[in-house]
Amino acid sequence: MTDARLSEIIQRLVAIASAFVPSPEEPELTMFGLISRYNAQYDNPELIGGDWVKENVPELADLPA
Amino acid sequence: MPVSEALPIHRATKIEIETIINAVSVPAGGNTGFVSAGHKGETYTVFAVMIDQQPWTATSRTPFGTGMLTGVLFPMRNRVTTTFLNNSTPALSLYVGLTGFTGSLVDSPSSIDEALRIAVGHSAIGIQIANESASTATVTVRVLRIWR
Repeated sequence: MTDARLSEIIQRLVAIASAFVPSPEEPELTMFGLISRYNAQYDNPELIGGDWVKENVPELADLPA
Repeated sequence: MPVSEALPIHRATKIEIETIINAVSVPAGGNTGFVSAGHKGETYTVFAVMIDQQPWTATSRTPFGTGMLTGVLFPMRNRVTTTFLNNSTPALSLYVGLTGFTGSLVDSPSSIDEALRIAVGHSAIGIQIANESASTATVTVRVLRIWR
């Protein structure tokens, strides 16, 4: 993966997390919720998932499963 | 306490929840591969599945080999047409192990009571989730271990 692609994915993930609005059904953003939104909005040929986020996006690494 | 009175018996229940599949992206028509639950001697092993595409299928193994079967889980999750998006309300299945195949002890348990009576634990318990949809699915599986 190129540095440019890495930055693009991280920016998209951080943007998804920043746009999250809690609701009674989803009171907090989970790793599942983050990746589910990423898959819904973008192509994901690298099949990034929760483990990838933990390794590459420190600010999102502690999201609950 | 009078000698004739029965001693109270307290059966402590201990539970533990562990994530074994953490928001894995599964391509259309693909699967997670078999993921071990890492049996820790619990009495019951329950899988809690979250998935955002459908249909999907959960399979596991008997204690005897590596063939993947739907019937070793109760309830079976075979070509499920519901998504499970909320981490408070996942799709739950008990690992039973000795059911769901020709020659098994019980072909298909009719109730959770029956499934609980014959559920077994062993070191090779695990799960595989197949994404049978046309889109990339997000899959999380947590294991609920129950000691009784």
